[in-house]
Amino acid sequence: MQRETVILTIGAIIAVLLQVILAPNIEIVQAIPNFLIVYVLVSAMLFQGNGVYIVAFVLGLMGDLIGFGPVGALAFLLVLGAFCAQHGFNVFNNGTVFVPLILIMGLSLIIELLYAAFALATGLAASPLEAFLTRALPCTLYDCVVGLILYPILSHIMLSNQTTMGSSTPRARLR
Amino acid sequence: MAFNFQQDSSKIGSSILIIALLLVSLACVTIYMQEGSSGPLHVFQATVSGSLAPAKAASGAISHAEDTLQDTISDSSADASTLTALREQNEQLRSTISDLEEYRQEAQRLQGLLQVEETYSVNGVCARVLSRSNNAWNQVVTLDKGSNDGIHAGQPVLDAGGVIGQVASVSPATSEVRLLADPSSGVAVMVQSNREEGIVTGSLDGVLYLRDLDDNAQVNEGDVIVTSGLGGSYYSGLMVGTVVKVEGNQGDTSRKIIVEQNASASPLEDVLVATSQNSDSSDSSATSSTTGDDN
Repeated sequence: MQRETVILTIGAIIAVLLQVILAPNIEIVQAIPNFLIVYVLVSAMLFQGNGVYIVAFVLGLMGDLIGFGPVGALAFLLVLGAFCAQHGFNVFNNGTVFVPLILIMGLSLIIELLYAAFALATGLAASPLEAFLTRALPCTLYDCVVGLILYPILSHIMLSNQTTMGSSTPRARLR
Repeated sequence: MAFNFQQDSSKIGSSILIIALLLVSLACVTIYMQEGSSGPLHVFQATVSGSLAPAKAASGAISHAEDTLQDTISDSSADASTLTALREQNEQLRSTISDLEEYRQEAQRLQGLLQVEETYSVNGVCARVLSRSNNAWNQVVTLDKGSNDGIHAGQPVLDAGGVIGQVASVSPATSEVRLLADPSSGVAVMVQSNREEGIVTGSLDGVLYLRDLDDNAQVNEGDVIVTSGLGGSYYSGLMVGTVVKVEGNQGDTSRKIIVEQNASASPLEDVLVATSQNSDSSDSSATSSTTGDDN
C-alpha cells in the first residue's frame, strides 16, 4: 500500500476519533466543529486520485451513523465537496495558504447549508433562517479555524514524504 | 495519442466512481427516510453508535473534568454578592419545599376524593450518560445500557429533576436518548396549576417552547409544567420544567412561552429509563384521604 494511502487512511481514523471524543467538549455557543468535513476538504486539495472520494464517502457515512443524521446525507455532500475542492484547488492554487482557506470556508459553508436543507427536509422543526444563523454559520466558522490548523499540518506531512514537482504545495497521487 | 486515451479513461473512471457514490448516498437517504425506526439502516446506525461506546466514555470523562474545572474556577472567584444571592436562593427553596409538601398532601386527599389513580410511580433501569452529542444538529446523548437491559425505543428517560428525553434507538449495550432540547423533540404536557394542555418542543437555540396551548389559557412565570400522558409517549405527571418567560398576553395567538427544563443530562450522570409505571392501589389513596380528613 502506498505511503500516501496509509496517511490518508490514518488521518481519516483520527478524524473520526476526534469527532467522537473531542468535538463534544469544545462546543462554543452550540457550535460543534465537524472534523470530518474539514479533513475531507483538506485531503482533497492535497491528494489526487479516486481514493479521496472513497474516503469522503466512508467518512460521510460514519458522520451520519455517529451523529444520528439521515444516513447518506453527509456522505453525498462530502463526495461533492471533495470533487469541488480538488478541482477548485487545481484551478486556483497559487502556492499560498489563502486559496485553500477560501476553499475550506466556502465549501464548508455550502456543505453545512445543504446539510441544513437535508435536515429540514427530513423533519427538523426549525426555520431555514434559524438553521443558518444558529447552526450552519457558527459551525462553518469553527470548521474554518480547524481547517487553518489542519491544512499546514497535513501539507507538512506530505512535504516530508514526497518530493514536490515544480510546485510549493505537495500533491500526492493515489492509484 | 495513447497517453491522451489513458488520461480520458482515468477521467471517465473517476466520473463513474463519483456518480456511483452519489447515487448510493442518495439511495441510503431515501431508504433511511422510508423505513421505520426498526429498519436495517436505523439498526445499523444504532449498532455503529454503540460500538463507539468506549470512545464516547472517554469523551464523557473529559466533559466531566471540564465541568468540574469550571465549577472550581467559578467557586474560587465567587464574590460576596454571589454568596449572598445563593443564601437568599437557599432560603426561598426551603420555603418552596415546605409549600410543596402541603400541596402534595392536599393532592393526595383530592385524588382520594376524585378516585384518581396516583401517578408518578415508575419502574425503570438505571443507566449512566456516557457522552454528549457529537453533532451540532442533533441533541442526542448515549447511555451505557441497552436492549440487553430491557430498554426499548420510545421509553422516557428521567433524572432527579424530571424528564430529560426519550430513547431514540438501542443497541444491545447502549442507548441513544434524544433530549427534550432537540428540535425534533416534543412532549405532551399540561400546566400543573390549571391543567391546560399543550406541547413542549425543543429548538435549535436549545430553548424549550410551550406550544399548542389554548390562546385564552392563563400561564404565568413560575408555573410548573408536567407531562400529560397524552399520546402514550410519556407517562403522566413527570416533571418537565418551569415557565420562565411569557411573551405576549392571554388571548394572543402569537404568544411565546419559554420553559426552563428542570433536568439536565451531564456526562457520567445517572439517569432512569422508565420501563413501566406503577399504578398504586385505590386503597392507599382512600387511606390518605381518611388520614387527610382526620387532619
